[in-house]
Amino acid sequence: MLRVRLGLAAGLLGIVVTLVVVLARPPLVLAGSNEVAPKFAITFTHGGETICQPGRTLPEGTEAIRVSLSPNIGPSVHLAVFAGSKVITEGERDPGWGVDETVTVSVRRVAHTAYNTRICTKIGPAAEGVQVNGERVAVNGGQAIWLRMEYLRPGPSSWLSLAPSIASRMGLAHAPAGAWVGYLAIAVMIAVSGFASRLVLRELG
Amino acid sequence: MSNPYDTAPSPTDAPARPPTAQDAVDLADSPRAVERDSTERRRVKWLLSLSIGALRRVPRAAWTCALIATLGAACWSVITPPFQAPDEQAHFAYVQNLAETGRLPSTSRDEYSVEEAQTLVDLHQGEVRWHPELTTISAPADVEKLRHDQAAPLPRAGPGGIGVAASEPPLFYALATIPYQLGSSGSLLDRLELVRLMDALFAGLTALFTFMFVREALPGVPWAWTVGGLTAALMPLLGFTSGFVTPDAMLYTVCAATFYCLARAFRRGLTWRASIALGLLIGAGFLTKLNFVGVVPGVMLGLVVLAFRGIRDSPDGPRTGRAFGPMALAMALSVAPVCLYALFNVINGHATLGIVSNAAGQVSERETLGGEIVYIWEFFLPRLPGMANDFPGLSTLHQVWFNRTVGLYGWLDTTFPPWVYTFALIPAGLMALLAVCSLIARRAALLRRKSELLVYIVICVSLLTLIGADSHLGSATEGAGYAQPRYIMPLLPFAAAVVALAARGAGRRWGPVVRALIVTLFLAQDIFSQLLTVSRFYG
Repeated sequence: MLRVRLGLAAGLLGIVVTLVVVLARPPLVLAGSNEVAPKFAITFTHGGETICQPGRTLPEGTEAIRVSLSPNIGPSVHLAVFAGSKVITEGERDPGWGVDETVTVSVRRVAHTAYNTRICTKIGPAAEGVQVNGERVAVNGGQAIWLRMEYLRPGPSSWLSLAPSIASRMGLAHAPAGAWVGYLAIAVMIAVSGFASRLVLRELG
Repeated sequence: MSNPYDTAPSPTDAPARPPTAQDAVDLADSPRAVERDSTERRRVKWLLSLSIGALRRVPRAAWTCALIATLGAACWSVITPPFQAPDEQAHFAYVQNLAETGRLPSTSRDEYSVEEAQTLVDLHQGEVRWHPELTTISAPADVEKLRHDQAAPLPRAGPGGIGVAASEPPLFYALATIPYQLGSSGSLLDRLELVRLMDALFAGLTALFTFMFVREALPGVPWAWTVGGLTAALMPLLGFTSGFVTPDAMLYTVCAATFYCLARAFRRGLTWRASIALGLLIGAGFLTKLNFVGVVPGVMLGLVVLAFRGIRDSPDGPRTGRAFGPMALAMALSVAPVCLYALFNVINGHATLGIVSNAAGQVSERETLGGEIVYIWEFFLPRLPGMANDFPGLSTLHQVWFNRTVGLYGWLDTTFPPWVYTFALIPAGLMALLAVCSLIARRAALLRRKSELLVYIVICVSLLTLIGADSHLGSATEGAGYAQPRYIMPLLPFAAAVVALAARGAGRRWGPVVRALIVTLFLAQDIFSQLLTVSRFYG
């Protein structure tokens, strides 16, 4: 029984510590974009290609870049951001992501705002056609595909400080309605944790 | 440790004489109505006592697992925004169409009722879906418009087109009309939530049957039953899927009950009662969701194996007779709903399998069998030398099935940060290792039950084959849209038994710690999955 208690205590402590760490961190918020319109399905790619395009201003503190690609099972996506010939940040997303209209790639934190950047997006081999949302632009007499890019950095408030506003939003477009819905969900999950812990202590010893 | 089967079998467990046609004639021609009433009352009493007795035999821990799963799924139903889950708008349209018109869907076009179509517009459903950067509506004007339209008496009956759910059989939707009608005086969102809560009840039943399955599969290890039951109850994918309107929730329950009945029959023999239960379950499965077809080959094999094993007084006792009669009864009961449905269609001049016939027609147009087998293999497993590469640059087992089982919610657009999936490989790898150790250590016991194990493996393989074949069929038009772990969730009881085996593999010294850690691991996954969904839609 002692060992079960130890295991349970360690597990619950792990959950609480992780919760505190997660809730103390701020969510990523939009800090800027490359100002390319996300026009729907301008083309499809089967991967194995690199698209280089202007990135405009990359804000200080950027930790992730959202790219307008859309598949069911996404290919690997590697981003490299250049200021002149110097790589100021880069990052990669493994294949298998989706299903959605964008992919978020974590990049090394950008220490200072960079202007007139250039971003190269290397799309790995794809299992299916990947929908590209962006713009076709005329470049040097030919046509190029530019992807929509959005730059994300940590916001000013932690998840915990945002909790009341999140709770009130949870009760807006839903039945039952009201801010209490969010708190009810928390209470139910605490009850679930309590029932599960009790059962562990009673039956697993 | 007491053996749960030490208790004397109840008279109802014994193989009974099958009802004959003469019984029915005798009953119908009974000379006096009083006697008939008395017989009816006795029958009802007998059925009631049978049901109460069966419920009383369910351990309290199983009920607690059911409660945990129901509460968890109810929580998911509140967290997941309306219609921000796979095909929920189509499934709800099916329920609404059935409840308001009493008719089955006539077409798979997206022709929802005015009430539902307006709600989808007001919720910005199409804009939020697949766009993780967009949250649910919160602007006062949007909320006010939604409230206004919810209060308006908009037409609830549509033209009968209900989108992708049109080809699904009607049992789940027919049941869902009960909560729908209970909330008929409320808004559409009220009715949606009531139907979602019905699904949450299915989650509870799934956890309960999973507990009971592990109890039959590992009868000498009582703590393993709880580990299996809690694993199922806390599995976020069960809570999420049972927290929105979808027949998957009921399919999981039917499959868990089927696993339980099979395991029970392997322990106690294919009695008439067991065969009726299995036959009704298979029939219900056919009427719940088409994917159940994938489970059927294994279950039918199980019935054949059980017929040859025959009736035994105890799990390892001598055979007292074959059980071909019960097998035939189970098979007849299982195909009866399909035959009735086909007959109904033929009489009414429709295609034999109704709207399903369209999909069946597509099956014959597929490419070579070899190409299809390779696709199905690679859809789940690493490519072997000499195989064509259908999934270049991708490890489907790891980067699709494992990662998506760890966390993929909302309209399949809500994922954890990539490092979470990498981290999850550690506990998952350790559990897999422990399960293998446990299997090796108990290989002798495993070999004694090889026929039973074979049946479960055939169930798993046939369901995976169906999913892979479906994906292959749709790959030209919709890519690998079937790469969703919810489709393999009918195998949850088997997975729960494997987790219980992993806990057993930790040995006597570390076993208790590992059991508790495994349960808290699933609890953590559930909690953080819910927080992820909250952050995605309301953050």
